[in-house]
Amino acid sequence: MDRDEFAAKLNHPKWQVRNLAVKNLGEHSDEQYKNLLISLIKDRRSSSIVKRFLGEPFYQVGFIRRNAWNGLLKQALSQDEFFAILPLGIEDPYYEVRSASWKVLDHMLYTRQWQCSNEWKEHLKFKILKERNFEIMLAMMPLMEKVMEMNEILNFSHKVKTFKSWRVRGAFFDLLCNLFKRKMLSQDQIRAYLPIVHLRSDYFKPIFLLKEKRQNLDRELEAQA
Amino acid sequence: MIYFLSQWLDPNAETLLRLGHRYISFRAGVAFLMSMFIVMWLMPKSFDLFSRLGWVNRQRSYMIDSSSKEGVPIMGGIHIFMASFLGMILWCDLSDLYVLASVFSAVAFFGLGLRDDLLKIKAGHHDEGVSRLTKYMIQGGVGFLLGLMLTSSWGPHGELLQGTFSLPFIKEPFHVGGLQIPITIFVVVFISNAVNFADGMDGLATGPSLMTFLGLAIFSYILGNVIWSKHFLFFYFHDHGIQSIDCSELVVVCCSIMGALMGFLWYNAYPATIFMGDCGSMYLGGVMATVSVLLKQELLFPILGLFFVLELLSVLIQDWIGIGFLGKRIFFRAPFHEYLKYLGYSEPKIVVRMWILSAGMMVLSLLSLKLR
Repeated sequence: MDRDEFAAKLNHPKWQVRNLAVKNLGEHSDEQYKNLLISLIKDRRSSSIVKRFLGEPFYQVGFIRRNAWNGLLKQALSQDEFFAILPLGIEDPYYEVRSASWKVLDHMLYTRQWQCSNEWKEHLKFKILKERNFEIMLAMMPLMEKVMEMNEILNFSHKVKTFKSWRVRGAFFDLLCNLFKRKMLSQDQIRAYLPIVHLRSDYFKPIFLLKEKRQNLDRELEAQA
Repeated sequence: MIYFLSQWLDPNAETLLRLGHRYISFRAGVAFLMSMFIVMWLMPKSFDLFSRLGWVNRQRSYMIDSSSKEGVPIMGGIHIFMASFLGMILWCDLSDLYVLASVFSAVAFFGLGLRDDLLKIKAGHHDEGVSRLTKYMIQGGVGFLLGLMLTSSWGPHGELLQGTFSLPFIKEPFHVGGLQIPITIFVVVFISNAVNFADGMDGLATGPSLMTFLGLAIFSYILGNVIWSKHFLFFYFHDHGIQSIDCSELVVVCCSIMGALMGFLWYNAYPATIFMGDCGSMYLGGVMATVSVLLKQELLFPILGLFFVLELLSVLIQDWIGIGFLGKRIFFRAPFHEYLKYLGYSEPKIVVRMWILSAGMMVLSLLSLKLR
């Protein structure tokens, strides 16, 4: 898709078409596309419910903002540019945008070795401690070590210990495991807090032995080929 | 058929068939067992055939973690249809208009579902079945004919009951006249699609369908029995007293389907070795809607079939109000069972909980018999 096509699709009256264009936009690393994505993130125009009833099209939808955030991953973005738009993401009224912005932040902090200022750390820590949406918590969990002290992370087990979604508690175990592997937490420290977190779960993963065996055979055949 | 045959036997001989001819409960019981054993016997013989024909499940992009379902044969609905249809044909009074209406709708909905399945298999994609418009036209067409029957003098109901609704927990039926036709169309389209959406996990559509048909069978028995219908005041008119309906043959219809479902559940229980496909879910939904309408209990369905209503409403709210109107997801995922799966519940837990919900709702709907 060339630039003209992108431009046409980004101005299409149907948001589904615009959304697809935004997804494609994110696949390419380009200065112009980067600015387009940022302008989409900043675009919070919306039709009122009454106008929507009267047939007015959407100006902007959460899906587009979410995909614009995901599209930032491949863009050559400076730390200042990113942190300038970050509040728009983590304060967005739509949860999928908030979740996407946390994931992008996590990715940027790790891959680009960015550091958070103390002011930002405090702000993000406050957000992490306040959050209740499990999907956003899952997105937040991996970057806790970047904004919190180790004892604060361990104390966080008091918050997640009875969290309804087992997935959040599971992500917390993953985080502790990761920190232990990297020797940022000792065995004694982790063992002191582990029993706090509840192990009840509504999920188990079945193993179809027959299918596993068939997949093993397929892998062998592919390796030989 | 056996019902007619038994009439030719010596009227003085107390043979099993003559006894059966007299009692609805006997015929219902035999139809149940027969359908169940037919499905249980026939099913394993079809696995190889279905796999060879390529009638197996493929991964679907919108389903979470659907890889474990890959390669499992589909179209188990064929067995449900064949066994229950045989049960109806053999053990029902085929001169009864209620039975004929049920059989007609059963064939129409099964045919629609089968066509849908075959087109999807042929195209190799889950979105390539019968178009939405065709689906709604056929479902709506059956609904129209049913509505016409219920408002006409040639229908099974007496003059007073034509064009009326029975409201749950309210004694006197509610007169709507010709409006019954569009309402019946809506009910038939709604219920048949709701069951179709519910068919997304092992045993998920089967268990609640069993509960719903059990509830409908109990209602058919009570409404079709002169003593019980008088006891529960069905259908009570302030000026004209009680107007009974002779719908007891529907007990045999419901029990045939329940038997077939029980046999199907033998193989469809987690982890499933066969799925019912659209031919099964459409058939079940179609007959469920037809029986509800014939019993004038269509407005009881939101209680009796609450699970199915939740499934369809979650999709409508998500697609129409959420994504279509507000431009965002209202639920994390839809239909309802996918939402629960996304929250992290494992499949057997969701399925069993929905069975429990359906059983509870069936009991609640039975309470409406007395609390009126």
